[in-house]
Amino acid sequence: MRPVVSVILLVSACSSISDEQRIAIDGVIETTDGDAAGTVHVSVHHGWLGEGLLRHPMAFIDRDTVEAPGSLDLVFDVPTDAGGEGLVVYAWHDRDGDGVLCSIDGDRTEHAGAVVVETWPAYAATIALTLDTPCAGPETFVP
Amino acid sequence: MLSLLALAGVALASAPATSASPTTAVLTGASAPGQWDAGVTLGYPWTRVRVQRGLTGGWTPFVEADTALFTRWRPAVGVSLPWIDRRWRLSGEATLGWLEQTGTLAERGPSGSLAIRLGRTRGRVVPYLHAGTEHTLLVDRVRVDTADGVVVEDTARHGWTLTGAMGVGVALGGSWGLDAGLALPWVDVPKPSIPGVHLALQLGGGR
Repeated sequence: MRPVVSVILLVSACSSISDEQRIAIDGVIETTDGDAAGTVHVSVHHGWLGEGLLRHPMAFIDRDTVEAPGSLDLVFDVPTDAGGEGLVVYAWHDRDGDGVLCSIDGDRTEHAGAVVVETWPAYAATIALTLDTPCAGPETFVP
Repeated sequence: MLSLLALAGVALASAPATSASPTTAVLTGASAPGQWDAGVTLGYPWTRVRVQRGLTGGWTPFVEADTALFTRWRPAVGVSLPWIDRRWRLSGEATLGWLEQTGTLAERGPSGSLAIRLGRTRGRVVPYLHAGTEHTLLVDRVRVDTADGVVVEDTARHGWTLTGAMGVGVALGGSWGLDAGLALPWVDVPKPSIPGVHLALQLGGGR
């Protein structure tokens, strides 16, 4: 039975193939509001992706969180075969813990920021990210 | 024109409509023992070719290939067996094949299907209904380039397509016939699919 399964997996192993590069991102996330508590939501984006009418900025790749502003140490797998240009790290400070950036009924002063990873493509990068723009979504920081 | 009409009239008048006609055989999935039958279906978006041969006991092995807009291909081998063969013929069939889809939504993998074919020969007319379920093993491979080398991650998933068609065939002669119908598949459930239309030619009766 096992050889049969192996053969099936072997012949079908190429249904689709995609290539990614793993990058470890460390550094520091600072806020300008002096609030050192609250989750920071971090996401990585291609600066631009697509062609023609489908071309758009800040194409989402993946997200993660850090417990609070301060040090950052995350790993992301970034697609390298989809034509994405550049790599941008975006983050916002979830001060009220509701998981929504500046929700209507929540804290309307949650700060965000972004930084371009100038060394991309690379296996590792160190960034310094300052969250200083209230209620700003990723598209605010188009490189 | 009159000659053509006369020729068609002679053909219709001389054509016995039997359950052994290629139209009935192909549309209901069962050929008479020792008989070869074939069907060529041209349509939008589906095009299909099928060749089958009847064996004793009602077993009818066949090979077929279908394609949607020449982008999605599925060659297969299979076998059909009539379960009920009275006024209506109901056949069950199973296939093993290979799915190859190119383009933006590329897919490939081994595929199997189960289907039923229901039809009835009423004079020269053969109304029919086909329904089936097709399953494909798809494996998505991600190659992750890391500082320690390339890591390959394979993820298996299941592709499911419901097949269906209905229409009316006409046995125009002992060795040929036509049918027109609708293709009603649901490709890659739950993504929506569009219905199709087709015209088909059946040939056969040879031993």
